Amino acid sequence: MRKLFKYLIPYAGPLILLVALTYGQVAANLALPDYMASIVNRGIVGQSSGIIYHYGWLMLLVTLAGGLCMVAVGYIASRIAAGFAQRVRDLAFSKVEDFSLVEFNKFSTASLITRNTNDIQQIQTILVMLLRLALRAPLMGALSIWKAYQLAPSMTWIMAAAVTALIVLVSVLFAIAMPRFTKLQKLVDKLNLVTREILTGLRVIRAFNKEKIEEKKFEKVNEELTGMNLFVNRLMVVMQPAMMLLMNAAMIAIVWMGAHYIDAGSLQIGNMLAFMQYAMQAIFSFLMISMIFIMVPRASVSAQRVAEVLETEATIKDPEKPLSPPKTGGRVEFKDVTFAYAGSEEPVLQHISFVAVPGQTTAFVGSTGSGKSTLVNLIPRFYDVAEGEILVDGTDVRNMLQSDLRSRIGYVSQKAMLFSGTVAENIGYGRFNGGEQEIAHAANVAQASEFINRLEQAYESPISQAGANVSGGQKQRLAIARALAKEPEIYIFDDSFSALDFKTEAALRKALQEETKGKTVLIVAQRISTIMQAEKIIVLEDGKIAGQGTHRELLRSCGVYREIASSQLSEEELCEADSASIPENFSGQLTGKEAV
Amino acid sequence: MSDKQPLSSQSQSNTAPRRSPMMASMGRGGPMMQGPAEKPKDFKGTMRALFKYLRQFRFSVAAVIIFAIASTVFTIISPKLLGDITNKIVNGYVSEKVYDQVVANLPAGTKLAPGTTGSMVLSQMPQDMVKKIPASELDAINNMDFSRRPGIDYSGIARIIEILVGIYLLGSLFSYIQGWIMTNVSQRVTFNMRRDISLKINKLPLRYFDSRTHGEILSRVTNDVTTVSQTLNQSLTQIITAVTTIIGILAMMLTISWQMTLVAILVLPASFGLLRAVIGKSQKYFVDQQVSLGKINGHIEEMFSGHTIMKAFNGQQRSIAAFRNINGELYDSAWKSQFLSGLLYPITNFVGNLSYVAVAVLGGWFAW
Repeated sequence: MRKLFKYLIPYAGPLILLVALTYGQVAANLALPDYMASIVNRGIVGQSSGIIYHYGWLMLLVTLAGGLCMVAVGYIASRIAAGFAQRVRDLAFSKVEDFSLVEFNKFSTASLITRNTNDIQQIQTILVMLLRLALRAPLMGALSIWKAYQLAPSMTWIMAAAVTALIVLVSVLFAIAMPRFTKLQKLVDKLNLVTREILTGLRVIRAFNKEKIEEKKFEKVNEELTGMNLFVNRLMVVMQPAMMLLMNAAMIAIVWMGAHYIDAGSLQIGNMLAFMQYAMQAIFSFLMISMIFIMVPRASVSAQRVAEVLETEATIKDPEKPLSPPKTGGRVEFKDVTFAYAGSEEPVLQHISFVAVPGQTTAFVGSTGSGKSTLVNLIPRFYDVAEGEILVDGTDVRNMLQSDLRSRIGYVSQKAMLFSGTVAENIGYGRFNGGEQEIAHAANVAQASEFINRLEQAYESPISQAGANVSGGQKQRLAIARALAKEPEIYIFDDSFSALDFKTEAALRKALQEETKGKTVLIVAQRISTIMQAEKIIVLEDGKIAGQGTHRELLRSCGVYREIASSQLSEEELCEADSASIPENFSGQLTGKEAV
Repeated sequence: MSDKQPLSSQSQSNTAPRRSPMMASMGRGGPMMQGPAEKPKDFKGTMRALFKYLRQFRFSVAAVIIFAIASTVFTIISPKLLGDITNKIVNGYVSEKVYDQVVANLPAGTKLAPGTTGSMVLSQMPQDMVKKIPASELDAINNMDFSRRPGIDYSGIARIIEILVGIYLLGSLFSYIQGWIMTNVSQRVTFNMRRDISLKINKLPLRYFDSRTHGEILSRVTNDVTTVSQTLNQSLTQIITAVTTIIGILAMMLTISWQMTLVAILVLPASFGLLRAVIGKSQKYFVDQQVSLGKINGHIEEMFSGHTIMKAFNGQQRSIAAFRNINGELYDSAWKSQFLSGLLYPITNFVGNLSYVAVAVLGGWFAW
């Protein structure tokens, strides 16, 4: 909580004003019993109606002043809290946008979302309450006790006793309840978890007839949760009656003792009445104070979570003196690259070296987990390598501005991700300056214009969050169009054709060949058929390069490749490839025959 | 005061004993800021469905109502009794003082036999002294028994205190029992609702789940059901208590003095009018705030989920710019709605104090 206080410093002025106004409000509220006491003492007992009217007017004025103070306090508190929240939100969001994937993996996307939404919300809500109450309650309590003491020092012990009893009561109750509250939170989380599991696995559950088991699971958590809730709430139910009893007991004590003092002439009647009011105010103020002490830990947890985000530095930063090499077609070179994910002992990639040349398609194949996606993810510098270098256009990617580097790359991820907006906005996401024609052209190449034009509003049709209103294949084509519309030097396709049928894929690849002439294309694929024509195929196994070459060369020389190929292609297709390579084996003889 | 903003209205409830909603909402990861929620699609139907759940507990609910009314009645009577004590003190004290004053002016050695009335005593006093006594007091003195020095009626007060203690204890007990039963009821209702949802999930067609996000359904199981139980717990008893209190207090006030009651009530229409105007305005801002919150949270979710793409396409600046836009809107609606809803308490406080002043003045005038 303390860590976030520094964001309140700009509000120092208004805060001081807030304190002053709160004091004014409290003083005004507490002056009323005083005046009433005077009315009773001098007006009634002393029998002077003039006094009554005089104090009446005074009370009216004071009430007005107090009310105005309260309004002002509310105004300042609202603005400070809202302003504070706005600032923290801004800082937190900017921070996270700056994060690299490393930080995202550390926190998890879901947690980052919660911290930026729920947690900041919590803080704002509690801040408003704090600003309004945390200042008023102690002031009220202290002032009440002071005024009461002035009126009837002999009876102040009653008030002290009541306040102490109250504090003891609240402390005991919450000492018992607090740990249960945390358990309660966890049980709610558990309920969430079980329900989410049921929802995600709905089809599986029904397919395997496991409904009853899931219901039992749910029932168990439900019962636990209800039980805990019952206990906690029953505890809290004690609070109100006990408090009332306490206050009433105090009132009786005051009245009884007061009678004797009045008799003895050491206490005026009006003062006793006022004293009763002050006692009530004091007790109530202390109740508020204890409430605040309970609220703060909750805010603390949220504040801690937000502070963690704010204090984390992105690990991938722009260099101080960035280089910007001329755009020469996007040559990508890996020099002895080794990479491991943070916190992992086993490197995912080891001693990777290759060159992807402009004008050529370089493909990556390998079994699941061989490191293909990781490899291409290193090119836009989503992660930094542990050893070795990655060069784009001859320069180490770490020496370039991230924005410069990425502007040269058109990246299509495995799982297509679209943003809410129009189709045109999505395709044009990588462009900073319009380009209707370029967008339309890109859509064409990506085989997407057909379905786009069939949509009601064509390119102005809305895409809902995460592209929920388009099919998987359509999403992929839009993602591809997005990369194309950028007109980059380097094209990275990370298994991006998987959702397309063979016909569309073939048409797409043909169109891409035209489009990417002279540029560097890198494709990661599962299907050999996709990359058979690539000028260079790199086979990965267990993070190491198991072979490089064309399709035919690899069939001959690389066992891993042959395995993959034979599992995907039919005997015929394999043989075709083989026979196509025969001329190289028997070049001497055939040439001779042909010549005839 | 709309109960749909539990947290903001809590800071306004300064009327001590009646509110402990803060405790009930502690420890729930439940809904935080709640402006005006979605308007219910079928209010009557939903209420009927809710009642079906409650019907199972109708005896408990009846008991709750009875205990709530009882404890509220006790709460209402006690100020009257306290007032009676105060009256006895005042009367006793004033009589004492008068007695002392008169006796001090009697010639020395005057015998005061039992049965001596004030008129007899006065006749023995020097006439110029008698003239000094205000006429309104003359009556009272004439009828006073001067054989003994009057004092504060301690035994009378003690008796009232005994009654009071009994009432307080009973009242607290009833309040506790009522709270206990109500907690039981609301928790069981919650349990049943959740269980029914889990059973229904397995019966609904898959199509239902395709058109909704998991988050939506989850929120019903956890947040929404929690809201229902919280509301049941607090609002049901509050309605009963509040209605009973209003009726009871009015009755009590009337027994004390119908004129003062009138004055006290006169300010009510004014305060209602003001409150309604403020709430009306604040609703608009609450809606705006909810909308902005929805937008900003959506933006955050999207941008974080698509972080990789955002980075790959250099969308950082645009994302932050869009965010700042929404954030600005949010700030506006947030502070305005907070401020306006925060006005409710000062207004009621002010009107209450106004009433207080009027009553104190009037009361003083009457006493005199």
